[in-house]
Amino acid sequence: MLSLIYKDLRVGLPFLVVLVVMFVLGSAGAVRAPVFFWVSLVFAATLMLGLSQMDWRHGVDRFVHSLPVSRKLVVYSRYVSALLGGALTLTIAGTAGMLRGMAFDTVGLAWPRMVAADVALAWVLLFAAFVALYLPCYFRWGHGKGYIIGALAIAGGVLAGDFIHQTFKHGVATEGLPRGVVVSAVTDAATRFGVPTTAIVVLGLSGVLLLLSARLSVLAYRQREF
Amino acid sequence: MDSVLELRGVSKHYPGFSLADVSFNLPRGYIGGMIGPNGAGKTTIVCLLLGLVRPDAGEVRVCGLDPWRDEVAVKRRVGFVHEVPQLWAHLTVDGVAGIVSRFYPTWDQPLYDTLMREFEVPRRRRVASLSRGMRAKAALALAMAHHAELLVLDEPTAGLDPIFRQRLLDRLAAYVSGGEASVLLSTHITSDLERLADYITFIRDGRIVFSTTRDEIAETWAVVKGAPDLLKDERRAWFAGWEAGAHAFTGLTRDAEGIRRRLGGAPLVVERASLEDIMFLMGRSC
Repeated sequence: MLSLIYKDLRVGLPFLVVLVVMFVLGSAGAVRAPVFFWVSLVFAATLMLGLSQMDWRHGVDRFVHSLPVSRKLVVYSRYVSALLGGALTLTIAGTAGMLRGMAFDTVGLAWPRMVAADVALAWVLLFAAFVALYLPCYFRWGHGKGYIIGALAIAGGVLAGDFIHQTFKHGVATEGLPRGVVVSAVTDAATRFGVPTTAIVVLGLSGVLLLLSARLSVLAYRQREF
Repeated sequence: MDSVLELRGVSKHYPGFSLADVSFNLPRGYIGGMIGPNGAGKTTIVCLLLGLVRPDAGEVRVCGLDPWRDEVAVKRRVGFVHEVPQLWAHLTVDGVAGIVSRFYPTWDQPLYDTLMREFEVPRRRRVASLSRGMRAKAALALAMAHHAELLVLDEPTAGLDPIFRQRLLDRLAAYVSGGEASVLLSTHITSDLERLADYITFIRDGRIVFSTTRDEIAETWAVVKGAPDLLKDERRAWFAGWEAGAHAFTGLTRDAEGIRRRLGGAPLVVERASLEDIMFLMGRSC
């Protein structure tokens, strides 16, 4: 698995560097805006999509599939790479938020609402859902069709979440936070049950989602022919 | 004899193309050649050997293992060079080797270094800046540097200059000389196979026409040439394929002596058929 992750990182390094630099610069300015939540999620999803497309874009699919590695391991390593991308995004966004928070502190302003554990938990749950939706499509249908179906599945999930939020919460979001059913549910749960309990539930739910998705991906990928 | 690869009654169906009842094998320690026109099914066979596609029927064995079920074990034993050797274009050749080497416990860095020197590949240049021939050389070095038991080369000599092609053929001959390694070459350049291959498999329209030793082909197949009026309708069936011009006909046969006998004293030229003759004339009737 480490060989596959190394391959992804080595091959995707220029792409990663450019994206990370852009994101770091963007984070410094945008961390206060609620939309930053979605920007950072899109960034993490772009990392996942970009890394998964890398071999295809270089036309080395068949060569990579001739390397001695099991399909199961290919699937699991793709999930690990996606999660590493998510962790990197969260680290950059968190660091940028904390730096901005400390700067606000010095002039007597409150920290941005975005820099809080409950928001990070909502982010984790949404990102896990993105990964869990996209990767089975990618492994089932491949780069072109899988990319489109996966992206549509994510977009559909986001729109559905927004629709539910509109319906049940009348679209009213906590100040400084983005609209959406997941953000609203997780931040409400953290207020009601405390962050540690919410964290256990969110991380557990994310883990289950990812495990089920990975199982599905393995089943789909085992049937694929190249 | 121990076979390094074996296909028994293998079928694979795609819309518009079917590989039907394909059976052949390659004994360990030998070089096998696969010839056939474009779209004959050579690449499908290569994909079956690598476990990239699954047969609809029949059995595929590589080093005694099923490439679909035992994918890792098979791929560790196989070195593969694709028809169009694509590598990550923005990396250097050594960068690609750094990735590939991690997948093979048997990777031999000194052997890779030797091959790079021998093939004169600029190791620190980006793959994107290399010619097609140079990429093919780099891909060959990558395939050979982990001591593959079976090298599967899909059109490896296309794009290579004649001098390097000869050196590569010598290299491949040396590769199998120990008796443990084998090579399967799929190519259109039949002269390479005539020089190098011990076994030849001819595939056309998804079916095996023959799979036998090079010597047997040389002894069996012949080209018969004669005046066009000798090729009457009922005689055309004597040939596996024929071509008639204004001044002469050329026919492919396994029974040149029989044809000579049946045509009595008619002036005929009988020559040993080259692989190119066989590929060109087989099934032809015009």
